[in-house]
Amino acid sequence: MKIIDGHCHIGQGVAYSQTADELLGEMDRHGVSASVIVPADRFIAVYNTEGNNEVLSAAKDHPDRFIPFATANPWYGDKALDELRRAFDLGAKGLKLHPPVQGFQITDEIVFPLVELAVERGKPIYFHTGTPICCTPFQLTELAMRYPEGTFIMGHAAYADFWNDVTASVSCVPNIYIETSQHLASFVRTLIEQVGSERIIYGSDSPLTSMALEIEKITRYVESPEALESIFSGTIERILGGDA
Amino acid sequence: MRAIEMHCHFGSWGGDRNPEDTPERTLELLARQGVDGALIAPLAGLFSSCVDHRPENDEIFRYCGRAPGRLFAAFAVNPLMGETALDEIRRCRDEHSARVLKLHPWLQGFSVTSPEMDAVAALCQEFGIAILFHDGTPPYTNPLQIARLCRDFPALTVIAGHAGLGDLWREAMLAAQRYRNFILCLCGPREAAMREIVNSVPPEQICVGSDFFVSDKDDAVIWFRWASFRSVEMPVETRRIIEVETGMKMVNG
Repeated sequence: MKIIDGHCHIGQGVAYSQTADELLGEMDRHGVSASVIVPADRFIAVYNTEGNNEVLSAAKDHPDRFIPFATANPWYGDKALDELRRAFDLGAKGLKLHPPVQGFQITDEIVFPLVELAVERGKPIYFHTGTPICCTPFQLTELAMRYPEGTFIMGHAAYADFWNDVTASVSCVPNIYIETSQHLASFVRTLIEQVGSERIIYGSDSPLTSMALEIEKITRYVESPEALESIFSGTIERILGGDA
Repeated sequence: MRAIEMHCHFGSWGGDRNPEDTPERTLELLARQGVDGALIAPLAGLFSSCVDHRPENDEIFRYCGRAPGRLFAAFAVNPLMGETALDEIRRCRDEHSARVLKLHPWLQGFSVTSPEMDAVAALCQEFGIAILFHDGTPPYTNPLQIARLCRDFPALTVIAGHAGLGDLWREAMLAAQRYRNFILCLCGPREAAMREIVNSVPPEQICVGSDFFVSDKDDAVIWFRWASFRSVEMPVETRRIIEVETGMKMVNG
């Protein structure tokens, strides 16, 4: 079975670190053919250019294994736009935003220019979700309704206690997909039943979690080959189109 | 006792009892994870009213009474019920030798800084009853909000039932470092976070839970949480204290 990991970090962060080679080792041990890679914590918060360069460089070295997503802190305004434009030009396949680390709410106006640029370039936008106040499922729905032509990924399926909003929030918009890292095995099954596997993306959030467990929590309880194919590769490949 | 599960619930996700649910089945589900005992708590509020907890309390005491020494009942009260809540604490202690009270401030709709909470905490301190809290979700269950009970009731044992969950585990860790009577139940933080907690907090202040429901149709929750915890490397003695000793102290008083 083909496995694409929808969310991994590389870089020497403050709270966590992982090199490209370490991630490749993890992927090889667990049969993961490719991974979406995003920068680590401090590179998401402030050192956006350095973080983006690292993921772009890793993807350049391993074009078949890494799918780079860039980040830009919306508070940098025009500089953030310039940085995102530069990263897209150099091969970034998507935008990653992290409201609690970057200090904004999903529906804040400062986010709109970055979203508009990603939409214009046809790139998916991954949001960390689940942290109260700044990145709730219904905030993401509001943004997805504002930009119906955009493609949004609900990172971590709103772990922990916004699980109860996920289905209700995505039911009225077709352009939000749900990434599974961090969440319980039982909730993945619930999402399949309520939302459909064609909207679910496997992700591990490595190195913050065990990639082995993040895979097994799905394979252990999901029997349908079609559902497994969607979750492990089909959905993300469809979103990325030729960029997968 | 190989290990004790310190955060599971009566009934099933959705509230209904599974007709196949028996103490024997629960022990079998636990055994599959290498766990020999469990603290079982009510979860009123999410799927049912949280005004009168007494019927469910009695049901859980009866259920656990069928597996003495293996299954341990936690009971619930709503602090906003005032003297009724205090009477239920007295009753559970007198009739069932209760050792652990379960509270869920956001589901039950009370503030941990309320005078009603103080009255409950004072009585639990007097009786030697530990309080297991849901924690990790604002506005009523931030770890430091809950931990202030450790400051004001220094002989009370307070268990953060989720060790801060995914967003507030660092806050929970700080609270545990400040208050020796603040216990972290690893039931929510993932591997990297658990590693840091285990390296920063004495094992006597750490236990493990899964949040599984004893009537669940399978082991999806309990398997995942215990596999996650056991993937974290630590010295054998540290693991033994966390998996067994801390929890047994809570349920035995």
